[in-house]
Amino acid sequence: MLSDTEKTAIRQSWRLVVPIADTAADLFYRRLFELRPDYRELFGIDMASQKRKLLHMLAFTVKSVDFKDSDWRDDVSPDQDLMLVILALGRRHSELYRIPNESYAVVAEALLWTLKFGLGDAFTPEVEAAWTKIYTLLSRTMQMASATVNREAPMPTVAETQAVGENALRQQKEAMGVDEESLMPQEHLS
Amino acid sequence: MKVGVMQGSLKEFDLAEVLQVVGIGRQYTGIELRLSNGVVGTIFVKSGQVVSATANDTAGPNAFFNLFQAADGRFFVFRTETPPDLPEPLGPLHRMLMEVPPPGPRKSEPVQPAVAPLYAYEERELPTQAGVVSPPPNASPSMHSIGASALKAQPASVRQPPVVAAPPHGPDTRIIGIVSPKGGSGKSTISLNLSLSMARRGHSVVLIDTDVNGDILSAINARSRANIGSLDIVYNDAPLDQALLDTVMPKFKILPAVGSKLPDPELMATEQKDRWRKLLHDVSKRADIVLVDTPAGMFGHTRTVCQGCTHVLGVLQAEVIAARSFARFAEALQLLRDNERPKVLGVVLNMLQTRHHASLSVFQEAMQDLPQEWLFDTTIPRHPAFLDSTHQGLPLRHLDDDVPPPVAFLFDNLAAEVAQRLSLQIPALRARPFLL
Ligand code: HEM
Ligand SMILES: Nc1ncnc2c1ncn2[C@@H]1O[C@H](COP(=O)(O)OP(=O)(O)OP(=O)(O)O)[C@@H](O)[C@H]1O
Ligand SMILES: [Mg+2]
Repeated sequence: MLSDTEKTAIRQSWRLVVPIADTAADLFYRRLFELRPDYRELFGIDMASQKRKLLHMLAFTVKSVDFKDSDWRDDVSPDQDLMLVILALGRRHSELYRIPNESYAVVAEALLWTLKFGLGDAFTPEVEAAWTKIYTLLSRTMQMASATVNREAPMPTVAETQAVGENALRQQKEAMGVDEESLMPQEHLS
Repeated sequence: MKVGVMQGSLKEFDLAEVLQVVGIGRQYTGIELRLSNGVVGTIFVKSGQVVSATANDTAGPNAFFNLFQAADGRFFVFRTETPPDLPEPLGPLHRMLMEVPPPGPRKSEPVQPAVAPLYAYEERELPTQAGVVSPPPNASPSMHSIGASALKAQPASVRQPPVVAAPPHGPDTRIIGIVSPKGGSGKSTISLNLSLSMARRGHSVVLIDTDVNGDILSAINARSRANIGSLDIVYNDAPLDQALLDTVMPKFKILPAVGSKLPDPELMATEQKDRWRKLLHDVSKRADIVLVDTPAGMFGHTRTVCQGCTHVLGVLQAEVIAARSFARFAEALQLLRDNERPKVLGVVLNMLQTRHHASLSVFQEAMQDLPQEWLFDTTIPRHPAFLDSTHQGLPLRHLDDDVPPPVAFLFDNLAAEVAQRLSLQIPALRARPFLL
């Protein structure tokens, strides 16, 4: 659903996020709880694993939207299909984590803020517009799931999608020659 | 074999939204539609390409566009095996969506009666949805109210409030949104104390609270007094006249955020821009100046409210993180349409700590970076009196009627600046000799 220019903007800006991914995840949650301290209690105690999961999901999303238009005939398996993965994610958010619908706007703000903060000048209006669009698509899909999804249909599980996401992030890091040790120190951005 | 993925009413999610969601998938996916105008059709999508479309007995691009002609109906999304010989697609979905003609009666279509009944649409089950099972009507009791209401809500039960026309504001209308990108920066505190000082100057003031969370009535410990709030008026069409609460100041009234219970969360997720604007407009007819306390952040709900304001007043907390995010203030306003962008009345610095370098540097940077005319001369220091004020549920001025804390007077200064910037008529002063 993204145009080629939007795909390029997402891909290129994500390349800049990957090396600082962990710091970005820290910033994101710090910003989120600063905006809404009361959301802290929606999350469990283990924020480290939560941060990892969010990164995996973003990595997976970036990978999923990044295919050539000419490859549209190729099939992907259900656990790699962005629509099904996000519908299932949306259902978990409303049924298990019980997040209110209006929190999507707050998370949008925290995410865009994080990208802007992390990317600096590279966060051009085009990049901002592309991320806004992809976030809007994801959150709309998640919200639609909570309202209308077929609860009996087979949907990807958390483990399946997290494994796919982990893979996506690893591949992206490898492709860029980023190893865990060379990650930027946290102080750099704080 | 068809595997149902989701279904619903087009009233709740319109066709473009459904297609955008389907468009992020890579599998061969069908959307079956039964429209209220009798048209039945199917659109197949794969990897963001529209593979085919049929509507009654037409097929191709025209069929695709015809399926957008009715706003009501039901959709059913299913997956099925990819056919072995996929045809050339009709085109990329994002491009075809851009070409959809705007809604409205078309020549070939019977024109809708002038007053179409709002909820005349009747539920019809789709006969083909073998795989789809509706959620149990009384989903498990442990389920959180919001998740549960979202699940059990049959689409037609999400009753949108009546549509209203958004009136243009007149030149003398003054509706000021109090906003900040960061939460807890003092919006509610400043709204309340500034309103009071404006009223003391002789202007009639209504303070509208639009934030369900950090709400003003809780701050003044009067939550139980609210019967009807701004959200009830916008989402449930409640009457405005019974909603305004009187205060000890004859010229100062408060419109709380919500009454005794929250409106339907599903409904609150809808934008209702025009209804917000109409409410602000109606209130502005009853006062010289309207102040609007908003939720933290510049998007979502706050953005909608800002679009109905004539001015915004930014609150900048003198603290590093707040300062970093303050750029959003100008950016978010820039993203509004020209005719919906409020003017910047000014920016007030709050919680300044002159003994702390970091706090001062925010002040200095604001002087340097913000457009010159934005920053008010009055800045509000960080002061323990604010804590007492929240604790006792009173505006600063009323903490002690005889000796109000000195910081209370700062709001009189701020009010004077606001009045000047708004060119509010101040009751004329007669020239008087000094010596009696
Ligand atoms: C596009 C938007 C979002 C994405 C991609 C996303 C992603 C994720 C992921 C990958 C998980 C891990 C668990 C799982 O896979 O089920 C998760 C959990 C969670 N998310 Fe989100 N999320 C989004 C929006 C939100 C919003 C708006 C909130 C509201 C505050 C939220 C709150 C939570 C909570 C409370 C958990 C569970 C934490 C726990 O298990 O303790 N998420 N999210
Ligand atoms: N100048 C100040 N000095 C000390 N405390 C202050 C000052 N201004 C506000 N506060 C306190 O900070 C807290 C947050 O203020 P307030 O609720 O007004 O912020 P807000 O921007 O409306 O928050 P929210 O984003 O949650 O709506 C309150 O406890 C208030 O008493
Ligand atoms: Mg507040």
